[in-house]
Amino acid sequence: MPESVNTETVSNCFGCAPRNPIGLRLVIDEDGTGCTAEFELGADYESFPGVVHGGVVASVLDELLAQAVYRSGRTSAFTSELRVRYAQPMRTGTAYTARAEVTRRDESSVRAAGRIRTPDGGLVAVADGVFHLLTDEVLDQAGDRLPDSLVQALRASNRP
Amino acid sequence: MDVQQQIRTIIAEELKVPQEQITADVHLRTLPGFDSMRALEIILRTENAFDIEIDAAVTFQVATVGQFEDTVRELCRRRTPAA
Repeated sequence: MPESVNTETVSNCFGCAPRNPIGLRLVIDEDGTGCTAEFELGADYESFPGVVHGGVVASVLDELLAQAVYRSGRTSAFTSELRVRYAQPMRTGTAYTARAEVTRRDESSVRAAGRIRTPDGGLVAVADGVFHLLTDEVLDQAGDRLPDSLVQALRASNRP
Repeated sequence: MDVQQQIRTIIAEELKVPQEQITADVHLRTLPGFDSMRALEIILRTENAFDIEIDAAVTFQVATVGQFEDTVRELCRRRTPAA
């Protein structure tokens, strides 16, 4: 969920909320071309001993891609497709950098790509995702299938 | 630059081996420095170079440089719409 949702609600986003005790608590920086997060995950996120669970790795990338998409146009979006490819295990207690950038856009969806690397540049995982934009028009049409509180939060995030 | 030349350049640059060492019958896994990380880097660069998507299963199906080149040629052929 974009960080601007915090202006209307208390975000509990698994990816980026700073106070979610079981969340990733990613701190995301943006520059002119994309988003970056430096992070380190502990044993709570393990699969094999010392190895971060592959689903958690995917969550990190999903969050970065979603942030890149949101920050590129300040419109909420949800993940409609996410392809993750893994190159090497991510270790617990080790610092990594994740980065994502928007690669393509049309009026209804945005495509983004991201990578996680070790401090010395080694590739850990890559992701490519498509995000469906939740514009005010989309919310007008589909909003009755969503909880009112969610629609309000999404509309608020579309008006930063 | 044709498919063969372009792929061998990518492999040579990623693995930092002389291009003369990369021939059609060479098994990718026997090339120095080849591991899962390098394999993914090679796949990503190849996808970008030819504007194709290479399925993850290719990593298991392809053994030699020549087979990888054939796979890329086939993906390029499928990508090009029939006239």
